[in-house]
Amino acid sequence: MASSTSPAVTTDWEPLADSPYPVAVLGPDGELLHASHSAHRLLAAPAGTVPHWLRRAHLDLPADGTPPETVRHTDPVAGRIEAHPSPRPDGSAVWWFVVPEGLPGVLPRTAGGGSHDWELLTRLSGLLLSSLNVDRVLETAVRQAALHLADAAVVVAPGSGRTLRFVTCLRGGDPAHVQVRADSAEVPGLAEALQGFPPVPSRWIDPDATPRWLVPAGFGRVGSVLVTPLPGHGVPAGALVLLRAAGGGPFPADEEVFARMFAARAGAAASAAVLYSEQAAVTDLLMRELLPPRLEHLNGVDFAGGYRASVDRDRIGGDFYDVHPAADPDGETLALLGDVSGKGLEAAVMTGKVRNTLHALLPLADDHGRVLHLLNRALLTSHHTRFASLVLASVRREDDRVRVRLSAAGHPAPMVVRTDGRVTDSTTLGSIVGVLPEATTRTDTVLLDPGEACVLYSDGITEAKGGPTGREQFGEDRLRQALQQCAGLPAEAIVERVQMLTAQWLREGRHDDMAVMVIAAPPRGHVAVTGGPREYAA
Amino acid sequence: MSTSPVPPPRPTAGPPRTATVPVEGELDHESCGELLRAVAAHLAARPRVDVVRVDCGDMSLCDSTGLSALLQVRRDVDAAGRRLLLDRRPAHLERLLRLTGTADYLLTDRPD
Repeated sequence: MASSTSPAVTTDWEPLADSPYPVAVLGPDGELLHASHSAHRLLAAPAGTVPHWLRRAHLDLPADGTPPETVRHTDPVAGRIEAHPSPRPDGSAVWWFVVPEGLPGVLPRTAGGGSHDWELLTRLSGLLLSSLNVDRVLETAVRQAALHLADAAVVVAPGSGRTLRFVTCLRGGDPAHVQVRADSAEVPGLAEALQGFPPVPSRWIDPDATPRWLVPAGFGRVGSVLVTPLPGHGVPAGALVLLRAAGGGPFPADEEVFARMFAARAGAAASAAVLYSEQAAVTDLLMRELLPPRLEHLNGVDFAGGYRASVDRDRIGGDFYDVHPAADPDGETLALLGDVSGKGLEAAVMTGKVRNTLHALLPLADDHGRVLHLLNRALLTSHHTRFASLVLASVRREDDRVRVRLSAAGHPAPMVVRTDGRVTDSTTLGSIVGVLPEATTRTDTVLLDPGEACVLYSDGITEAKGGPTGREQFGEDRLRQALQQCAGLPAEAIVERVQMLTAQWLREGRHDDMAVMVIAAPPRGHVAVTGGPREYAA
Repeated sequence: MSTSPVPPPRPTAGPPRTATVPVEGELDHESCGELLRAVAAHLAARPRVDVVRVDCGDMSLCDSTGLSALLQVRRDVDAAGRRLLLDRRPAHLERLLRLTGTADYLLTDRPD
C-alpha cells in the first residue's frame, strides 16, 4: 500500500512542509504525495506510508462530486483526530487534520513545558499593545521575555550607524536602556536578524562568543543564545536576543517556535509605536510651522493678530496670517489672512504651500491680480478640490494716513472701523484659489485716517456657533456691531475685543479655527511711539 | 443618433434622462463623501442619464468642505460628459457661491 513519491509532484507541495497544522496530500490510489512535518509526527507512520484508516477513508471518498464527510479516528498515542478531506479533480485529495490543542510533539508547546501557550501569548500580546510609547513597548517585551522565555532578554533597536541601542532585562528584574559603540556583527546572527532574516537555530550559536556588552550586568556565564528578528511593518523593528544561563543546553525547537511567535507580536507592537511617534513628530513639526507670527508696528502702521485654533485635534490646518514687511520704510508691506478648506495634515500641507508660494511672489505684490493668478496656478491639481480663500492687503503709510489695497479671493471682505464708529465693508470680491481654471479679483483701496482700522477675519469668527441656543452663528451683523464699539481703539485692543466676544458667544462649544488681523493707522501724536526705528532716529 | 426598435428605459424619478441627488441637512466634512458616492453611483450605473441634478432645497448649511465636494462633483460630471445642475439653491448657498467666486464655474454649462 505504500508507494514512493515522485519528486516532481512533491515539490509542488513543498510550501506546506512547515504548516503549523498537520496536512497530507494523498494521490488517486492512496499513495502519500506529501505530508507536512507535523503530519509526519501525527501519523507516526514510516516515511512515505499512509496509516490504514486514512488510506481506507481516502479510497472511500465520493467520486461523484458530493461534499465528503469529516473522518474521525482515535489514535492510541495522539488521541482523537479529525480529518477533513478536500478532494481534487484528479482523484487526489488534501487531508487537513485537527487534533486536540497542546498535543505533545505536534503543536508547539510553551517554554518550560506548560500547556497554556496560547493563553500566555494572548496575555503577552495584550501587555505589548497597551502602550504606543516605543520605550514602554520595548521594556514590556524584554521584561516578559525574560520572565517566560529565558533567564535574560535583550531587544536591540534597528541599527543606526556605529551605535547600538538596546534594552536588557534579567528575569524578574527591571529593564535597562543601554547604548554602546559596537558592531552588531559581534553577536552571531544579530546583524542578520536586524535585517529581518529568519532566526538561526540556537544550537548553531556558540554562547561563549556572546560579547559582554550585550549581557545584562550580574548574569554570569551564558549557556545558550537565541536571536530572533522582530518583524515590523515593512521594515524590521529590531531583534530579540534570549539568553539562558550555563547548564541548560540549547533552546528546544518548540521553544524557538514560541519565541518567534512572541517576537512577531513584540515586533508589531514596537513597529506601531514607532509609526505613531513618527506621525506625532510630523504633526508637531507642521503645527509649529503654522503658528502665526507675532505682529508689531511696521513702518508707521500698527498690525495686530489673534488666532484661536480649533478645539478638534484632528482639525489642524485651517487659518493662517502673515505680514511681510516692505524692504524700505516707504514701500508697501504685504499682509495676508487666509483659510484652507478641509482638515488635517493635508490641509496643513496646503497651508504651508500657500504661505511659501505667496512669500516667493512678494516681488510681484504690486499687482494683486497677478499674484492670485500665479498662486491659483501653483495650487491647481487634478487630485483634489481643496482650495484656499484669502485676503491680500498691501499697506503703506502716506503722511499721517494709511493706504490699504485689499484683494479678496473667495474670502469675506474686510471691515473698516471709522473714528466716528461707522463700520463699512470693503468692496473687494474675488474667487477662491486652487481649484478654478482662472482666479479673479476686484481690488479695493481704503484710506485709514489716524485711529481708524481695517479688520481682516476668517469665517471661523462669523460661523462660530453659540449664543443662547448654542446653535446660532455669531454672524457678520454681530461682528459689525462689536466693531462699532471699537472706534479709536488700538489694533491690539480690537483683536482682543473680537476674541473675547466670540469666546463668550461660543462658551464651551466646538469651533473651527478663528483668525483676526487688524491693520490700523496710529492715532495722532503716537507716531514716535509706534513708528519704529526710523522715527526714533528722527 | 441611431434609432432602436425598443424605447430606452425611463428613469424612475424626475424627467427622462435625468438623475436627481437630493442633499438634506448640512453639507460638510461628514456628509460630503456621501454626495460624491451618490453622484459616482449615478454616473456609473445609469449611462443613459445625461443630466445630474443636485437638489439643494433641503440643504441647511454648506461649509468649505461642502463647497469642495460640489466642485469635485462638477469635475466628475464634466469628465463623464454630462451636465450638472444645482437646483433649488437656498440663499446661504447663493451667498457662498458669490463670495467664493464659484457661481460661474458651478452654474454655467460646460463648454462643448
